[in-house]
Amino acid sequence: MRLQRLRPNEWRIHVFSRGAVALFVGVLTWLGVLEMDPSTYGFLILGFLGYVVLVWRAARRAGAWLDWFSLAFDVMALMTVLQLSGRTASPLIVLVYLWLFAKLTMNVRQADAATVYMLAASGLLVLWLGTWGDERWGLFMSFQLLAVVIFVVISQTLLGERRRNERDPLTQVLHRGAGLERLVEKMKRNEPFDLAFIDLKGFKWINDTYGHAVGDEVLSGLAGRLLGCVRDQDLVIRYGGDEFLVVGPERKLKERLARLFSEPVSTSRGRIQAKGDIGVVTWEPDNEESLDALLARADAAMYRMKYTEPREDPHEARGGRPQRA
Amino acid sequence: MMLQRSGLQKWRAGVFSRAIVSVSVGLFVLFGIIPMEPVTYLALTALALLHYVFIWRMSPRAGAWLDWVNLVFDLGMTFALLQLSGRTQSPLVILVYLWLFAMITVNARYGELRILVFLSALGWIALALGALGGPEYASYLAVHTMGVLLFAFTSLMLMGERRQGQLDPLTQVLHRGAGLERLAERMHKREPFDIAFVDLKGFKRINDRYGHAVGDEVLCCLAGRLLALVRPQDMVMRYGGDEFLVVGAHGTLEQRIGRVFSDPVMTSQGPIRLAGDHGVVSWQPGQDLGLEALLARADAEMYRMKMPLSSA
Repeated sequence: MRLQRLRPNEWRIHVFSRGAVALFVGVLTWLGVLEMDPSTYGFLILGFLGYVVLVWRAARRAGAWLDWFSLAFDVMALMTVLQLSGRTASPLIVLVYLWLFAKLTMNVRQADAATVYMLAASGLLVLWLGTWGDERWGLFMSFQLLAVVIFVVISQTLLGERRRNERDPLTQVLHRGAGLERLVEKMKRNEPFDLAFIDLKGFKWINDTYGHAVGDEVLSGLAGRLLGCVRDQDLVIRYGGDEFLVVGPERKLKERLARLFSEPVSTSRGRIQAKGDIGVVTWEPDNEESLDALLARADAAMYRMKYTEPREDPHEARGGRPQRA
Repeated sequence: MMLQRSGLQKWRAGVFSRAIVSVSVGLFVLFGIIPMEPVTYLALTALALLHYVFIWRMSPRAGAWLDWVNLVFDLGMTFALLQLSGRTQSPLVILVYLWLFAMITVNARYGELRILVFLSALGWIALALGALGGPEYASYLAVHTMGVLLFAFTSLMLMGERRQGQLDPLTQVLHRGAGLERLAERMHKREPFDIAFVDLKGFKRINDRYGHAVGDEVLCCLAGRLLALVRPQDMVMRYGGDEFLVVGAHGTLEQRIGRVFSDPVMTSQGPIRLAGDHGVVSWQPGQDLGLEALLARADAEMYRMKMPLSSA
């Protein structure tokens, strides 16, 4: 379970939308729609301004704590507003649902179901604490429980869509954008890992000889094999047309990938022997290497393998040709 | 403006979530949380069941009108529920927002702002009409006008995410999945178009000689050139690593594409000359050619261009 970090430009939207809500609650208080004292409202606004200043100062260099802090702030603020504006009779109940919707849109980018449950639970907590003390509280909460359950059910559609959008449609492994984003997150967590750069040899030739449909089958077959080589928490990324990145266990990835090209791939046009180059490098948390530098190092390791391995056939030097098995 | 047709899976989710709502409203009526006559509840449930029997019978062969019927039914049902369960005091007001959330998730799949505005307006109308005649109507309306505005504002993030999700991260043209989906929709609209298969030659060699970073620059530049060739309503998609599909105006695409490889590409390692093949075929609504067959023909057209060159 993890809140996705907001990016600096998203903090601006985060503060802006809360400012809009604060302004509107002010107008409603002024018009007498909410049974809230103007002085209470003034105190709430002061608290909100303090929060804005903190976020403003901290957003650029803060760690994950800021996201959790803002979640706690939201829960407290919503709860207070509900308590002060009529509890179960408050017209602002709807804000809790809008808040859930906004959190889901901005903080659950990687379709993590556990985070959705956590958010739904904090929504229920807000509704519970915010309306605590009314007579019809039990009946009210039973209704809100139902509404939050429906909210979670509807979210599943969105989560499914996000999960699909992270994948390359052809091979069903992570596409480049989503994969590199996750790789950066993995580096931030400071655990060592191995990174392999895999470049298929003669893919152009397969496409030209058998047609694009068969080329696609070869790619899907290889992607499936790569997924079979690594553990659940590892990453397989389609980096380019015929290039894959694999992130796997430290110092063990090379042997896991050793038999990748040993068997031919079954396609609708028979079995095709795919060939490729693999460059494996290890990333350690303490050598402070950036993503670009790491990728360049893996790329270089792959080229070392490409030019040092024994060549069976003169074509190999230029792109190489796979054989039909 | 069009509602996206829901697949069978989504229909099931729709039926399921509406059934949860109706069962729990029944429980609330039973326990007296909602001031509604049991008879009225039974009548509403019977109406909803009839509606679903109708949809069940029609959905295999119905056109887009069925989605619109469904939308109107939802609105009517929301109106009736709010009016019968306490108008401005009704605890069921939340259901309108949940409905909006569900509709945005299922529809507006390409991030169309028009659909967002349209659905928000419908939600607002349901909230306004459903509570008409209740006490403290003005303040109710003020609160929910803000509510719907906040909903629309929050959905803008989702719309932006969806628009971005359609694009290939490197070249910022449509990626294969989204592109083929849109192409299939375009064929449903029955307007003629030209489709070109563009295949970069020697991309592997560029990657091997200058490194992948320069190869990426070449792809981005080529994608930009292809985008510049066509009109805003046309499509450019990255079909594979170094293959692009271009869908453009009927009859003019061939000559536009011809110039795409004429100038060298400026990269960080100096200008690089590009070469490539393309195959253009026309699609007309009368032809009854499926998507797969159309792509195979464009592919074959490209190889006809490629083969005489490579044997020479």
